[in-house]
Amino acid sequence: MGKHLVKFNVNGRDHVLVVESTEKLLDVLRDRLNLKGVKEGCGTGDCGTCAVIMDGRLVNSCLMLAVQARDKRILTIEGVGTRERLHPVQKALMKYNAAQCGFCIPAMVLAGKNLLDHNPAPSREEIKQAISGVLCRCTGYYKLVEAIQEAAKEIREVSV
Amino acid sequence: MSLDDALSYLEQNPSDTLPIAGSTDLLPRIKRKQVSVGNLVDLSGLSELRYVKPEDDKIRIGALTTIADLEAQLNDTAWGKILNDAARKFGSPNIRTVATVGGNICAASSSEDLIPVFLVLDASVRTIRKSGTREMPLQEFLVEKRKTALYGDEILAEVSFPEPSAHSACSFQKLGMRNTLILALVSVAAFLETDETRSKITCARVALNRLKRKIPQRAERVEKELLGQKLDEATINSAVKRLGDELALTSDYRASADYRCEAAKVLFRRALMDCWDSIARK
Repeated sequence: MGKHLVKFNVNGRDHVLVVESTEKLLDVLRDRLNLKGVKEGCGTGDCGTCAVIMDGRLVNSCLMLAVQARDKRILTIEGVGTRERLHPVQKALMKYNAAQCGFCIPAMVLAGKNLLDHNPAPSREEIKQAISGVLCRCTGYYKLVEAIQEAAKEIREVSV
Repeated sequence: MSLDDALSYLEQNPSDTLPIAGSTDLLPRIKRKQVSVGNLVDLSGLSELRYVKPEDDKIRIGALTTIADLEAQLNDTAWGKILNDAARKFGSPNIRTVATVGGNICAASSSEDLIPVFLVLDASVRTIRKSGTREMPLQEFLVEKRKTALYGDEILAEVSFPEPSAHSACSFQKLGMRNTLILALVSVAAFLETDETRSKITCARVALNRLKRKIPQRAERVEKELLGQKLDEATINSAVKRLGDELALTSDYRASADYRCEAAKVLFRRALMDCWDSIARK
């Protein structure tokens, strides 16, 4: 197994790293870039809590080698909104009390944001589809769907 | 890295090197220590093997086409609809972004949703290595569970199938414990073609994720039963009964053999009804 030089952009910043062939993107993001909002639930692609947005698509970072992320643009929850200026999905999740233990929420926000980036007027079914790869074991999905619908409304009103 | 570089590397290290693309199947298996690898060759960036194109009465799909690519393919043909439908039932959106058609076929197990679909589309595969290419029917490529006909220095390059005629229809039915992120307990794919009167069956292909072995297979006796028959309820009833005779499923912690058999018959009936409905509406 060799080492590889990889370059990628995370949350707007370029990183150049030497990674092992078998090092997962998840571990690089958490342990080397200290982005702890990326969670490891199952580590086998079944729970989606490690999801990040890569070049505009949702991917599970536990199922990707760091070398496969070369030259990509990656967005983690740390790059979405600020304390002062939350993203509409974050704001709506708070309003609807849609988070309980919070473990799935970073991935859930990214799944919601990614959907709204591509489709600002999704149907309930489209929202359910978009978040279907991220498991929540606390609250169920009702409030999450409601919140994403409200966020969509806010985004549409702002863009008019 | 180019495709040629990848093939050269495989030629020099054929015994301990595995090609990876989406890695959604391989990484969990490495984590669970079900497979050990020396070296990996990452194919995921090779865009020359990522395409869906009709060409000379055939539909050609590059091995690195992602499941999300199939989901984005919206065309009203029989093959377009079944591939789109199978893609939507596949894994989860996060998985579909990176998982590939070639990876699904090469994984060669009953959990791979695309294999029954390609079997009923009468697909062939093209493999490549440094010293040349081979083409063979998909059935021949799938040797047994988790084993394909690939040589150590070879990769799957393309899957292709003849363009179905205007009087044909396909259907894919999958049953899992829930809709997303689930391996199929049972899945059934069916292809029916009729004559111009839309009543007599001139070609029938049926494949299940499991029939007698733990790998997708065609149900050839059921296909023979359907061939030449009138497309009606009586024919469907007798085909469903015949499938029941042909099934030899086993129990495991996910479902009993009896449940799987009953479910397979129900899904098979739905698949045939769905095909009938599509043909009647053409």
